[in-house]
Amino acid sequence: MSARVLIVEDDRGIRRVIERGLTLAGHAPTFAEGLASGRARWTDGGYDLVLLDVMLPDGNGIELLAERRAAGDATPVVLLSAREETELRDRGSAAGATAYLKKPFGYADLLDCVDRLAGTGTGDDAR
Amino acid sequence: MIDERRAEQRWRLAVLAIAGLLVAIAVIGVVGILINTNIHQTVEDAIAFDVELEDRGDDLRVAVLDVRHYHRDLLLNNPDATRIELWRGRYDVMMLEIAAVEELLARRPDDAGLPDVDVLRRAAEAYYDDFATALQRDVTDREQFEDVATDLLVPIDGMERIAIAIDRAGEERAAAAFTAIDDASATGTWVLVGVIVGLAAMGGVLGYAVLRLVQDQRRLVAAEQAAAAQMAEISRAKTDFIADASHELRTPLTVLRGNAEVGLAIQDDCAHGEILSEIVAESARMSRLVDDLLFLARSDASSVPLDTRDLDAGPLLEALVNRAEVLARERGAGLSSDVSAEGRLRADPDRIEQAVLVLVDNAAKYGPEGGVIDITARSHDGRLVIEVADRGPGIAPEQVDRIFERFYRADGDGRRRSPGGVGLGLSIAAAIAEGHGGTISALPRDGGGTVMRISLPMRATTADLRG
Repeated sequence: MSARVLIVEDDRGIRRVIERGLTLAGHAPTFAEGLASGRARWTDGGYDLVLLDVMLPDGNGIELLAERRAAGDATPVVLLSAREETELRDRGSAAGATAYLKKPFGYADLLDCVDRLAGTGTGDDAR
Repeated sequence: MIDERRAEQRWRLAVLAIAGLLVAIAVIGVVGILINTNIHQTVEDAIAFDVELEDRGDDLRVAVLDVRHYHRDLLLNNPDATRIELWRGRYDVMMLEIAAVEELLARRPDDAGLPDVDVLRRAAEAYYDDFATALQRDVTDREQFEDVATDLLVPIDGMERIAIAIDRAGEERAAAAFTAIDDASATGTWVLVGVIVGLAAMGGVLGYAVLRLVQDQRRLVAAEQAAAAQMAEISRAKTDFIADASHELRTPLTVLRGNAEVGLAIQDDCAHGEILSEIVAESARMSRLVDDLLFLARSDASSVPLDTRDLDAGPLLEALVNRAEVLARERGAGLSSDVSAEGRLRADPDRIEQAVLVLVDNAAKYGPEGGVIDITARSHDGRLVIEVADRGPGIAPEQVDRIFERFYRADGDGRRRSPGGVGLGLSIAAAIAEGHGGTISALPRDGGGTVMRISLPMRATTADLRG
């Protein structure tokens, strides 16, 4: 199953490795480098899964998530963060995150996440 | 430390100041007692001698006048037996008074300023002899008796003068004694005033010194508090730095590991696969190191981050042994367990497991190849004691205290890096044990090897509470 995945991540290295990994597994990744471009692409729609970094240069990923959920978007969202504080997880869950992927994560963790969650949303984009 | 020495000097000074005050009080007391004794002595002297002498002088003078009176009585009237007896009685009284004065004066044999009473006694005795003779012999010859009796008024006048002189001397001495008493009390007052003023001045100086000491002490305490706050701030900054650095490291680690894993997925032939696998393994090791650093930084900053809950010791240990067996097998060692514990404890099971696995990992690392690791656990005296024992070379006594230091390694030169670990394991195990209110220790094992012991407090059972 090929999934359309939006990755909102400012770190080029992370973007590149996710791109390589997902492409190799037959998925279709799209990238945004910050909050503003992430919001634009996400609003355009058409994604089975969003991988969302929490700490972005122009804002907090959780705020974008809350904003999208408020707009009725049900796309599954995996938060990416190097921080593991329960407080951050709680805030993410409250905002509507589907899962939490702690850096450093492995290739298997990433693929498992995508296979498990892509398309489980109840929105129009679900396959 | 210099500050401690200075603080000690201050205390010593304060003690000296108090001792000085006590000495001052003692000095005032002693001076007061001496002055009082002096006044008392002066008064005693005056009453015992000078005032007595005045009294005696007075009585003596009266006695002489009485003798003179009865002498004239005999001269002017018929000297019959009754009158003679009266005169003789007066003479005896006078002699008694003389004897009394003599006795008084004998108390001061060395006092040159005293009147001479011997002259009086000799004059009195001569007078008596003359008049008594005249009374016996010449009483029939009236004219001759009157001549002798009239002549004998002269020695009586002499006796009276001597008596007056003694009386005056007594009065003068009594007056002088009272002046001396006045002087002694006045001197005493001034000496006391002087001593009190002097001591008050000393007290003032000491008080000022003590005030300065207190101010210094207060400044010192304030400085120490400021230093402690600064240290806390530095420590917090250090912890923040380590935490930030650890988080920053996680992103490149993700890239490193992810790329190697993707590379492995693309091509897993001999040479490349081996290289990429090693990169994956090393990045996993580095991830653990980052986690450990973060854990230690947090346990430095505040309490150890624990997710504690009430647990039964039995199931906790069972799970622990299972994980330990898996780890030992991975490390090529055997595991023998002897675990029996009852009761409950408040603990973070994941962290307890982490600590015990550190010990098992170390035991596998330092024990002989393919050796057996013994894990035992017992609950008694309100503590859960878990021991992990190996048959390795043991730990040199001088190293025992250092093995819980960060990055310390007991093998070889202590700081040598070797594959398989970075030397944070025991530090973390210690932080976990201490975070649970427990202890960790390393003991030599009978027959060679090391016993690592974790001791954790258990919750009081109802039986314990009843006991």
